[in-house]
Amino acid sequence: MALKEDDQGLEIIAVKIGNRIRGHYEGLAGTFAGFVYCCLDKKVIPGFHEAGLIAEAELKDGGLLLVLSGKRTETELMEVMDIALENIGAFPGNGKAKYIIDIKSKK
Amino acid sequence: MALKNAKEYLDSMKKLSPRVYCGGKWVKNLLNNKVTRSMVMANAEMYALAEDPKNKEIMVATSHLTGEPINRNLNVARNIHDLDMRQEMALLTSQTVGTCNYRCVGCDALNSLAATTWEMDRDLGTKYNENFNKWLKYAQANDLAVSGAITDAKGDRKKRPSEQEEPDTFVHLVEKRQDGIVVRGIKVSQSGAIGSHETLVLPGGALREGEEAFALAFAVQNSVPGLTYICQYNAYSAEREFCEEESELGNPIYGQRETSTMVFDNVFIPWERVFLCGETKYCGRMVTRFAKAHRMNCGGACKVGFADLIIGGTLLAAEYIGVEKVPHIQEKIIDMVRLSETSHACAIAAAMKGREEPKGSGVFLPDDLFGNAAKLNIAHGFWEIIKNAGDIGGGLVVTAPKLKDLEDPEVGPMLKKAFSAAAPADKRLKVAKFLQHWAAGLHGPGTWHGAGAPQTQRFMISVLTNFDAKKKMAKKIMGMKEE
Repeated sequence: MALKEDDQGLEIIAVKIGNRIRGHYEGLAGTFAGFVYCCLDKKVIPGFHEAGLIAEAELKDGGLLLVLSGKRTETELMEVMDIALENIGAFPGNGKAKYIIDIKSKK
Repeated sequence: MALKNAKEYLDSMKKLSPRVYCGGKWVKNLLNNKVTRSMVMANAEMYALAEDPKNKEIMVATSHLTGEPINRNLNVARNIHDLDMRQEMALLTSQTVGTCNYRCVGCDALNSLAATTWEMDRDLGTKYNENFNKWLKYAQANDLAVSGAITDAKGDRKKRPSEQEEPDTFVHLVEKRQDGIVVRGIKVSQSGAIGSHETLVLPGGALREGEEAFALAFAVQNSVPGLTYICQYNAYSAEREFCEEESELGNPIYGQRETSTMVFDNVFIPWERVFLCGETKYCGRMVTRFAKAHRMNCGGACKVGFADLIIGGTLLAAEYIGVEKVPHIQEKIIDMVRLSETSHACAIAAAMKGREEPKGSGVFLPDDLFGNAAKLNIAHGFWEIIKNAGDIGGGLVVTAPKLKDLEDPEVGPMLKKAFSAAAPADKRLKVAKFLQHWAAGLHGPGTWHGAGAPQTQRFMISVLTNFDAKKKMAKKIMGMKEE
């Protein structure tokens, strides 16, 4: 069942690694706010209970800049985000992103 | 995707990482732990049932929001037929898995929310119903497994929620933010929450002015940070955890009824997922509407499905020792059928006498009196049914050796000699284990307390019954004058 973002109360979140958008996820409106709360206030990523995975997290240009601890490949970063977003109720989807999560690995 | 199949549900569970503690350790993967897996497999069967064309009328409904086919566990009843199929679903699911349909409480919670949020928007000009309908469309579109959390830990029962020394004994508001709320507290006895995608949280009971912090209803994702599930653990959990083969158990795949204590440690809920926040006046009716639906389904249909299984097992036990034609055995079997079918009749009546509530909402809820009668009847009847199962099944129900012992070269021949009767020993031991699962298992107290302990039904029946009208009828027949 295809639902439109605006009138159905959904929101699209894009995941950016480097200069490229690597995936889109569709969740109920408020999903991004929930994700941000987890990263900034609880210092954990949904689906990953261990502390210390987040090296840095900050709101930037209406999106979220997330730096993970340890050296990780782009594929590994994407795997983390795929698990994290599904654990907060956002599933792979398409459409214009309202929010962008820019994810990096700590160098 | 409007309807998930069982494999898709199981695949979705593999991706989720709820924070689950069971029997002294943290569970990293629900499907790798024998105890938690039984719960997930029961939920998977709920999806499988909806895939089977022969169950379509019962398991599949049409969304009133989108017109798309949806799993009935996510349906808001819009007419009598919906109510009737809802209770038939409770019967079918219990007959199929011999444990909870873990999507059942969520289904009844969402029907209460559909009615009560509509009423609040009408009365107060809130946007709760709009939020709820958007959440429901999202849940239907992704065919989410949704559980329901109602019962707070409650603490000292003499004290109101705000008087408790430990405020976390009730789920309550910590902070109101521009983008959502932060909640904390504890809900107990939550059936199947661990293997659900989301849980609908409702207030645990009626609240008064001044108790606004406890007046909360919301939807929460299963593995959101801050939420911890501590699973029940008992002799049946240990038996499953340490058994060599699950085929030895009373309910090999789906297990006993698995519940957990849900601990909310400052969990953020976006406003879009909040369906009541501070409106104490509406908490009582939200819970009552939930109970109205759940007593029909849990009391009058789900436990009847269990009774069907128990009666089937008891008949086999009787046949295996050659007593199936003995008059007092037949009489006891008939009593078991009478007790269960009386409850089912009440559930059917509750559905047939259901009505729109509140008027104009389009939401149909079952008749309260028949629903409460169904639950109260089965609460007592279930003990009678398992008593008769223990009676006819004999002492073997609790004294049977391990089924695998029959294969031991030394004791196996002795056991076969001891337990072969009108059927081979392995059949007798298998059915004895099945009946043990019921007669000495968790379902007696579970049936007593599920959907509210009998005292709550007695209270509701006393409120709903017109006793004066009955006295008046009696006086008229006797020719007594009204005073």
